Amino acid sequence: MQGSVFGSRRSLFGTEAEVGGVDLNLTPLMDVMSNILFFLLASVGAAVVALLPASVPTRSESAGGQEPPPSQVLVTLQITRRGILGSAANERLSREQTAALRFELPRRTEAGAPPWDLPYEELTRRLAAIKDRYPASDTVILLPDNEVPYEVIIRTMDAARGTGGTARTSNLFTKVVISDLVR
Amino acid sequence: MSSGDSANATPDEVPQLNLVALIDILTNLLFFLLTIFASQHLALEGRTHLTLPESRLGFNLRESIVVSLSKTELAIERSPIAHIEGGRFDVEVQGDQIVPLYNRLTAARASRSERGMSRNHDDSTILLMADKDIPYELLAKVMKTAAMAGYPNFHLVALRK
Repeated sequence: MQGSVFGSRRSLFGTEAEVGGVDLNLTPLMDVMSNILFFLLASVGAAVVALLPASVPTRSESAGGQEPPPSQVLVTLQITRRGILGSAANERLSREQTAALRFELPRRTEAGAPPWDLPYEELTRRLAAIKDRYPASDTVILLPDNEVPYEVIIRTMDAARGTGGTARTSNLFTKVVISDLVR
Repeated sequence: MSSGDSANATPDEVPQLNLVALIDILTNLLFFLLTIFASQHLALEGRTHLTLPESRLGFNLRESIVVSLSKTELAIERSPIAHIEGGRFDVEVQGDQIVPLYNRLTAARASRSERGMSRNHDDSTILLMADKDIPYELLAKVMKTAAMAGYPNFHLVALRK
C-alpha cells in the first residue's frame, strides 16, 4: 500500500515513514467510523421532509377546458369546526346523481378528543368510493374555514390522497386546489 | 504499520494490515455524507416558533423559493418580512396582498428570469413551510399574494411520518 488513494504518499495520519515507527492500533477508530458511516447512509436514504403539491385558483387567459368525461367528478371538501362537508360535481350528472355524492362527516366530540379531531379515515373511505364510481377523478378542492389550522389541511390532503387515519389505499385525489368560499 | 514484509513472514507471525488507506477512504466518505445530511435539513434549524405537521405522503425536496410562516413571523429565504401580532401581519396588506412579500417575490421572479433559471425548472412553485397551528386565514393571504406575484403552485412542507 503506497499511501492515500488520492495519489499522495501522505495520508491524514502522516507519511508512511512517519507512522512507521509507531504501532498505532487503528481498529477501534475503524469501528467508530464504520458505525457513523452506516448511520449516515441510513439517514440519508430516508428523507426527513415531505412535499405536498397544491395550488390556488388563478385567472386563465385561455378558454375553458374541455367538458369533463362522465367518469370524472370534481370533489369539493369544505372544512369547518363542525366537520367536513363533501360534494362532487360534473355538468353531465343529473341533480339526483350529484345529491347522492354529498356527504357530511361530523367532528368527533367525545370527551378528551382534540379540538380538530376530524374523521380522516372515513373521509378516505368516502373518497375511495367516489373514485371507484368515477375513476378519472383526480382533483379535489379544499375550502377551509379561516380558523382551520395548517395541520388539518395537511391531514385532509393526506386523506384525499388515500392515507386518512389507518386507512390506506392507492393514490386517490392527487391534485389539490386550496381556495375559500366567497362570503 | 507496513504490510510490505507480510509475504515473507514466518507462519508463526500475525500479518499486519495497513489500515491507513482504508481510513482515508472512510474519512472522505464520512465528510461527503455529513455534507449531504446537513443540506437535507432545509435549514429548518433556527426557525423558532415553527413546528411542521406530519404527513405520510409527499415528494422529496426540490429547489424552490422558500417562504416560511411561523407563529411569530413571515420570512422568505430566512429573511423576515413581517411579524405576526394578534393574528395579523404588522406590515401593509392591501386586500389579500401582503405588499412586502409581493414585492420580494416579484423581484425574485425577475432575478431568476434574468439568470435564465426559469428555463431549467418549474419556477412557479414555492416551498411553503408553515407552523402546524397557523390558521388558514394567514396561510391564505400568503398563498394568494404568491399567486398574484406569479407563483400559483406550492409544495407544502411537512415532516414525513
